[in-house]
Amino acid sequence: MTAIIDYDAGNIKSVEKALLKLGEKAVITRDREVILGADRVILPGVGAFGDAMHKLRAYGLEEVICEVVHRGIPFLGICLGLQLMFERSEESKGVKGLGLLKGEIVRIPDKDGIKVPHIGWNSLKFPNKGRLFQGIPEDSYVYFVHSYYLQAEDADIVTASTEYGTLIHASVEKGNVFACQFHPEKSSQVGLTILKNFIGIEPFYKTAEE
Amino acid sequence: MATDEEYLDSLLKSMTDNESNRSMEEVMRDVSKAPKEDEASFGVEDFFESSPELGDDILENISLMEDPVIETDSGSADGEDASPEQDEWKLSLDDILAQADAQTSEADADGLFDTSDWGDGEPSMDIPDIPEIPDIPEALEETQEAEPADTDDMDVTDLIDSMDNTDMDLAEINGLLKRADSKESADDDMLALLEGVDVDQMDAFSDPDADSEFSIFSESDLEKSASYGSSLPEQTDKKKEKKAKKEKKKKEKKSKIFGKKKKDTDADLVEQTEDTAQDVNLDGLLNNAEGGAEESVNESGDKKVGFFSRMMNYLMEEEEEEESLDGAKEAADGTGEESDKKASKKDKKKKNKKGKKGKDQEEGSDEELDEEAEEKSKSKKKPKREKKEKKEKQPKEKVKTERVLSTKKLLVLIAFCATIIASILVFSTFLPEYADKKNANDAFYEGDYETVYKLLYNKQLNSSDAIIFNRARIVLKLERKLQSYENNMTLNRPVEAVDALMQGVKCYYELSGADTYGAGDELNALYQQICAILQNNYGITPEEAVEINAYDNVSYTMKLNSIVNGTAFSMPEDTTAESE
Repeated sequence: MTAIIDYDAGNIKSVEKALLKLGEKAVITRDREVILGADRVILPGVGAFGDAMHKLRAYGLEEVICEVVHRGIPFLGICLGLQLMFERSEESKGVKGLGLLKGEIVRIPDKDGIKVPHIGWNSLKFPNKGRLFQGIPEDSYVYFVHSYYLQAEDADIVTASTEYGTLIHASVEKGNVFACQFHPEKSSQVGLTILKNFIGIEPFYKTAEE
Repeated sequence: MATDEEYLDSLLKSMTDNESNRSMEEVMRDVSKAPKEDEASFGVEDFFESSPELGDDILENISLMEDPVIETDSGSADGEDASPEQDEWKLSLDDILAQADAQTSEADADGLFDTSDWGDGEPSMDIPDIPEIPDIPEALEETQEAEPADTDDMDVTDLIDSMDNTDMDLAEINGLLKRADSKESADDDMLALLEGVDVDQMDAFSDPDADSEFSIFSESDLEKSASYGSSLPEQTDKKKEKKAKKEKKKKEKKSKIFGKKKKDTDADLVEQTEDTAQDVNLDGLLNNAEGGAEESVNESGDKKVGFFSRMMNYLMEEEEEEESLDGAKEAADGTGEESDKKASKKDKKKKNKKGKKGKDQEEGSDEELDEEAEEKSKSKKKPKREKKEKKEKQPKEKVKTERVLSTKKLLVLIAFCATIIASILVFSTFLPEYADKKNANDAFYEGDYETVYKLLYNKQLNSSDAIIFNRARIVLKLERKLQSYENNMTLNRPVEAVDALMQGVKCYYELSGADTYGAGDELNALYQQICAILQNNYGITPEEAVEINAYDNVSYTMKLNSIVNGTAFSMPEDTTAESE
């Protein structure tokens, strides 16, 4: 069972549909026990960094997410979910992120002819091959919608990147923590493959018990 | 052998021994009997000769100083045939000496015998005026009464200067007085405060006990006060009248400050303050100053009482009155009922006793009965008086009870606060949403669909707002294809750019097939732009674009590459089979 964290963010239903399409049982919830009892947890999101963090704290989900990560449950952040996993964002200065990974979120630079936000399909490069991108060729197209992008402190955790006026860290992976700036649930077959790979990752605590 | 100094001492003693009856002639005769000039001068000069460190100049000065003495001596000697004027002069000198004995027994003899005055030898000197100098306290009082208002300010400033270190408020007042002296502007309230201080300070001046407090007055002031020529009886009458007025003023002020309840006690307090010394006067002065400030503020108008004090007065005053009235009523009713009951009981007892007595003690004497009746009547009267006194005291005590919050008014206040809090909560929750919707409407009519979409996304919308949101959404969806083309061209991705245009054509047909929420014209305009780019840049008509969009993914990608690169396109068989 995959838990989709509900914190009043958008783009939840499409994630649920994608998982259901893959034959995975999905639950949209903010209940602590349900989240901690899930095999996998997905943190979706569309919106602003500050508002989302306030919502997470208001629902008491910050501690739950940290506990999920601590327990070794596979955790995937999508779009704003990726941004929330880092320390801070230019979008909401003074608001602390979850701080699960080191790095910051900055605004896509304004350049002539390049529209911000970055909306549409864009191709991926894989500087480090991650488990999410198994079976996906390089330069595959995925769907992006964002105005801010990740600059990860540790380049080793970056598993996918793209170009949109600047180098954008499109995906990261560290231990049981995964994140994508693009929307796999909206990225057609490539996106479904990414989600399928995520579903296939077993929790750490189960392997420890074994 | 007696020296000049010893002789002078003896002369002084003789004068200080109340020898007022001695005439000046006798005194002068004594002087003439004094040792000879040579001996006297020798004595002095011998003294200075024995001290060689003193120069001749000093000796000359001394001789010059002694010359007038010699002249007076000669004058007095020549005055054996004294004229009446000279007699008067001598009498006046006697008066001076007598007063000097009476007033300054320890005065310096040199001061009394001013040889320079003697040297003139004329009766025209101002000595007779000296006894008319009034005493310092009297002079002070006279100045306070006789001086015009202009001089009052000076006195006040002096007083406040002396008290600068005692109170910060007085220091402020002093500063304001100084400003007023330098013709600087001051607040009306503070001026009113100062006026109150002036009046009170004048009260303090009139207090004879406080005279020592104002020893700070300069001698010049005293001289000025002496210069005013009002006669003493008139002054005393005026003093009394003014004192009476000022006491009345004090009482009124204190009654205003402490309230009506303390009116009776204030008179005693005023008397006590008059009896006590300067400290009490100072306290009274300060209190009166505060009272004056309050009065001035009250006279000025709005800045009288703070909000909370007004609120507390509103909550408590009327309740107090109600309580007092209720208490009085209850007391009156209760005591009336109780007294009626007691009277009826006593009547019954009397009847019973009388009945018993009539039956059992028929033989009793009439006198005993009368005595008993008198005693009973006395014993009844006493409790009645006590009851009356209690009746009178009870309402007063209840009036004096502390203020109690009115439950009704408290409830009204709570309800008022609750409505305010509720309104704040309602406004805080609904106002931002209302503002967003209003801004979205404004942006929509300005054609800024992006702002409309951002403001209304993920919000509960009514029908009109939903129409606005959906219209903005579909227009932006088509517009985004055009932007994507421009982005990809900028990023040097021509295939992706052509793809964006192709997706735009596809999107237009999808959107125009459904409800456009009134955005048909805008969608058509965007579609025309896309078609124009395809036609002009790539030679693809809208119909061809629709046909290409129907290809499978591989054929579609190959077709786009052939369009961008200008190469020939051949449909792969396998892919056509898959697409079929």
